[in-house]
Amino acid sequence: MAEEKEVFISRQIKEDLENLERYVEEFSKFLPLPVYTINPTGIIVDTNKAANDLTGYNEEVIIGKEIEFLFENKKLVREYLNQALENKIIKNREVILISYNKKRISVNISISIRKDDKDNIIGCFLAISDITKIKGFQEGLERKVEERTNDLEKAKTALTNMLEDTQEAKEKIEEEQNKTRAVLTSITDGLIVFDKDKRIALVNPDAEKKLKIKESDVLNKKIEEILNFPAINKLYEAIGQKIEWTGQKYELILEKPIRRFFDIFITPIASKEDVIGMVIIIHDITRDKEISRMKTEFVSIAAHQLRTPLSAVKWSLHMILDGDVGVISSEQVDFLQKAYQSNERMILLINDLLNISRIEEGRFIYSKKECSLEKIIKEIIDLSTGLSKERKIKLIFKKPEKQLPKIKIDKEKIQVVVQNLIDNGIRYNKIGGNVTISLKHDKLFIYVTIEDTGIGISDLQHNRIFDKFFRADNAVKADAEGTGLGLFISKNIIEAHEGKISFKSKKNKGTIFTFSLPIN
Amino acid sequence: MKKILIIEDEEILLDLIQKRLTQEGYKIYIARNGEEGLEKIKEEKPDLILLDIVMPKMGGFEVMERINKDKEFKDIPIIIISNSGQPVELSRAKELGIKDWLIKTDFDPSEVVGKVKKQLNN
Repeated sequence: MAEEKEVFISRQIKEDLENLERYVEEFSKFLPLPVYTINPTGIIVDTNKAANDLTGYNEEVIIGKEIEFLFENKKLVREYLNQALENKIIKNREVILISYNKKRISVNISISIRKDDKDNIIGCFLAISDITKIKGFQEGLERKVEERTNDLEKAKTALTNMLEDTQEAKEKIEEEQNKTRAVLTSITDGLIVFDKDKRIALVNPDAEKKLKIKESDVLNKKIEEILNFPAINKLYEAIGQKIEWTGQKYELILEKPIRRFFDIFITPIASKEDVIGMVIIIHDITRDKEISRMKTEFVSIAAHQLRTPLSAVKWSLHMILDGDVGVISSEQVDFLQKAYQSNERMILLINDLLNISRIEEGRFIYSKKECSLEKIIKEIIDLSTGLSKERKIKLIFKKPEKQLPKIKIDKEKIQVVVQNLIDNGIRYNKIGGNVTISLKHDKLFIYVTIEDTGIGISDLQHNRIFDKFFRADNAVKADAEGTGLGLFISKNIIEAHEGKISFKSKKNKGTIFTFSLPIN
Repeated sequence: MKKILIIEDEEILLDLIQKRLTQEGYKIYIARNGEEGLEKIKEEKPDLILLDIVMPKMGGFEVMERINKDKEFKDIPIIIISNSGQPVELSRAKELGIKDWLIKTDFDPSEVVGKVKKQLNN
């Protein structure tokens, strides 16, 4: 009975076992996880559907093969197996599986050992998880990252290049700025540069020195804000309390520490067509003034000194010619007269030089008084009849149609002008020619016209006719005596009276000089 | 005989005028600067003075200022002999009461005589 019972139990156990095996088999077939069952020597003893599907090897082929057969890195797989058999946990180790179709598949393997009831190792399961997709994704990601990195690298390179270009451009600009600044710094005129809003953008060292200011104290300020600097205040007054481009030249005088004179210019700074600022230029003319003054003074003193001996010669000759010191022969008279005339010419030249030095000293027009211009002109005409008869020139005076108003003039100076113009008319005429003097007026001016029928002035020399010491070529030929100062002096006299002088001329036909004098 | 004092530092001109006026029959006294001139005025009490303006020691203007302060001499007629003939100079001389003036380079000795006679015959 006991035997029967044992047989029954063992049959029952056997049946249970068989059921369990079938259950495991079915279950493992159903499992989506590829699993190989391996014995302790590494021989595949079982497989499942998922494993067959993944590797492409069916049961008949794969069972009995060593497990590393399935993988590329066989040694490593055997190593993992050995480690697992030594109770180490092998989980998710990445290896490459070679499929039946020779396809390389990235997989993770995990190995877990099988033991019997007596704790003996009887083999192990090797589970494979396909990580191709993840791997692919990862690789895609990596590729993307790489691409992005490349893009970024490229962008970085481009940016670096751009930065370098910008840096270069910046350096160039800085270099230009430095150059400009160096030029402005070394320039010997004072410069104050204003920006568009008329704030100070630059003061060069020369201006700092001249105006006794420091650039750092006035930078970005408007001129109105720094009038506490005495020199700036004076400058501001000198330019009419505004920074504007008038094309005008202003004069600045600074008294301390020594009296100095400056020409002030205001110029716009233009970029293309926009005005981007203004610059005040301060040019020291103290030395020029001094030289000019010395020159004028020299001429003045020399002329004065020359007058005394010339007077002595004149008076001596005159007394001999008058017979005051005894009778002289007609031949002696002739020579003495020539000497006397030469001396007179010298006196005239000296007088002209003195007049010029007075013009240049700015103290030429002395006193204006109310006079009749007509009367002055008539007197000069009377005085000129000697010369005109000698040269066989007819002097014609045309009386004005309307009575002329009296005007305030420096009589002696206007006499000089009229004398010069009539003299020229006679000297640079042709024998038998005319000099016609006429007068007219309107509400504002009296106009005096002196017209001759003489040699005229060549077109080429028109613009030089009022220059100091200038004599036209044909004038030199016609009369060697002139000084080239008469018209220069005349122009200065007329302009000092706020009048104008001009001429029209045709070579070999004649010249018409006209000057105007304001009626008060 | 009328007495004329010439105050002039320029030797040649002084000499020339002196000769010319002597010929006309005047008694001539000379001085070569303003200081000397003032002394001669006091000593000789001339009827007319010919006076230069720019001179060493004392110029013509100062001579006139001094004379003007002196009752005894202030009415002596003065003719200025000017070198430059500048308006500034002449207008100051006129203020100081001169009778006439002549500009050295513009006049000759006979004209000087004319001016002298005109003053002394008045």
